[in-house]
Amino acid sequence: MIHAQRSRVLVGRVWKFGDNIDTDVITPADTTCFGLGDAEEIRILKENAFRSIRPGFYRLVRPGDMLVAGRNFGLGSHREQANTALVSLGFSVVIAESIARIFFRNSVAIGFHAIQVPGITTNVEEGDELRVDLERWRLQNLTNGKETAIEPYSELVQRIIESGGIVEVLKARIEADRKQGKFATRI
Amino acid sequence: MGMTIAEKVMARASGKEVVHPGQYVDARIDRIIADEEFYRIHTAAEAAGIAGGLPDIWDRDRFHLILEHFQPALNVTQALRQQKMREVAKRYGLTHFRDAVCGVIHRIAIEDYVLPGELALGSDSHSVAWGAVNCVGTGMGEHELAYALVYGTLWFKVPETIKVVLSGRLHAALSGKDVALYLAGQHTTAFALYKAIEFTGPGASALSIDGRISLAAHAVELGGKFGLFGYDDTTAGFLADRTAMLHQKHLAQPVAPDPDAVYCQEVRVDLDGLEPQVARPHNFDNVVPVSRIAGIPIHQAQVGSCANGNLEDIATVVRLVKGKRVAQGVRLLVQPASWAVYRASLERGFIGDLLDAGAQVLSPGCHLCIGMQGALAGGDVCITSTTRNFRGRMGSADAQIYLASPATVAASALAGVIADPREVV
Ligand code: SF4
Repeated sequence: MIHAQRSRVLVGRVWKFGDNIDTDVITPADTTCFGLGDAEEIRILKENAFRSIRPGFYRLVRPGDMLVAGRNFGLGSHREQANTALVSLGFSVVIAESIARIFFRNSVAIGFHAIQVPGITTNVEEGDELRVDLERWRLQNLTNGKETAIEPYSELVQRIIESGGIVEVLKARIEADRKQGKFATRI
Repeated sequence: MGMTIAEKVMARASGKEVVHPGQYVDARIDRIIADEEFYRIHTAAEAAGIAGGLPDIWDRDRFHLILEHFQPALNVTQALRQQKMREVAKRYGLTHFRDAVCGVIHRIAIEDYVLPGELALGSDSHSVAWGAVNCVGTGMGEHELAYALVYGTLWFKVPETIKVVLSGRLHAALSGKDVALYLAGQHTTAFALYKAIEFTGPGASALSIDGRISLAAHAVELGGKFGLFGYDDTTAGFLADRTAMLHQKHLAQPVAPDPDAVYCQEVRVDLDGLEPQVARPHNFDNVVPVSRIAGIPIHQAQVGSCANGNLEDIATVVRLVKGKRVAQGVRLLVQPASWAVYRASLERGFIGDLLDAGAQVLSPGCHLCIGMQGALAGGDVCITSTTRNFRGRMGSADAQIYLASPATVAASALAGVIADPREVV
């Protein structure tokens, strides 16, 4: 299980991608399919992430780097491995012009920051350094000085992300319920 | 103010009189259908420290587990996953577990499980296909399904709805696939991002359930959260043939939009003049009319998937290839979406017709769609009626995948080059 970092102010270096980066590009079908979710599978996912457009990408990304992309990032499959692969590569956040629905929900569900900032691709170049402030909801390009507002998460989304993902929320609820005697008979 | 189909179902499921787009609701789930990803649901819970995995399943009569993407298993990895699945199915005491004789999850769901008016979740992005039978279905990841499976509820943001009005009639060689591709070509894959789509108008009513499945399934390629059709005689007729889960049939609650429902956008498509559409590599919205690229040589032609492996699709292929032969050097692969589709094809003589024409017929499943069978080598050119032409989806990243309707695929298989099916039909 990979936990994304939860700091509210992120600073990192940008890797920039275009429009329509799909889940097969992030995590090719033959690498995601049907492993057991163990360390070996995570290694395979990480080493093959983006291989069709950037072979060996995993060797270049450093912890805390940021992924900037164009329209509809993460479209395609429901595969959560695409989200966890970004976390295991070391990314702290994905910032895109827009983000596909399931990819966004999966990010929230694993406690990983995924934010939509229209116009991001015109203000940011690969290698730029960004400061993403999720308290004041500002995005600052430290390389060129440009600053943009970020639309805040809804309260609910914020709560799930800060809990570390929906399974953490689930766990807390189950623990509370167990104290009340629910789920007493183990299935 | 009236509500759309999605709004009405969200309101009912969250126990509210009205909801409006943008509102967050905690909705009761009517049904969950999971495939082999259920194993990840179990392990995600365990990995998070929930001892033993999920403590319970909220309603075993509304949860269906299907071993489907790779049935039968093609290698040891898959076989191992299946073994694990059988273990967890037993451990959770599941009532509805389908081990063998499956097919594509969405075909199975529509044949046997989902009902009109339900809010239903699947562990697969094409769960939007269930909208073909007026079910408000959508795909979710494993972590969210873990929550929903224990408590039977999940958070939703009520989506805005786009109304897509289909007028006129499709040419006999065109299908729902052409409409989906056309919409993507015009409006991109971000067309309905975070939104519901309602397909309506005379052109929508005229579509068979199979035609609706193709269009509804592709709601996700259009960015959508739901892809919905209304309930009508076609839906009723289809459900009347259902043989599974009959004890739940009375739970169907067909839902129609209010006459004064508010849509965020209305798009009209005139089917009368529509040309067959093809998406070029490597994206669903890289679309041109077939005439623009006719003549490109192909090596492989495929008909299958949740969107286009249904009986009507196979009948279309047969209509084109019967009594003819696939072009030399072309591999035509046909994969029915379920064993029911396979059997119906067999009874109609379609399988024999396909074999006579030189096609290969595969056992039902997702194999073609993700290159588990029929994998492509670098330089291979494939035209397929499956759902996605992402780079590398079917093998080599240097293969070229074109997406088209079953008719366009069949016409191309006969010609050996991308071809206009209207010249054959
Ligand atoms: S046929 Fe393809 S798109 Fe449909 S469920 Fe199977 S793998 Fe997914």
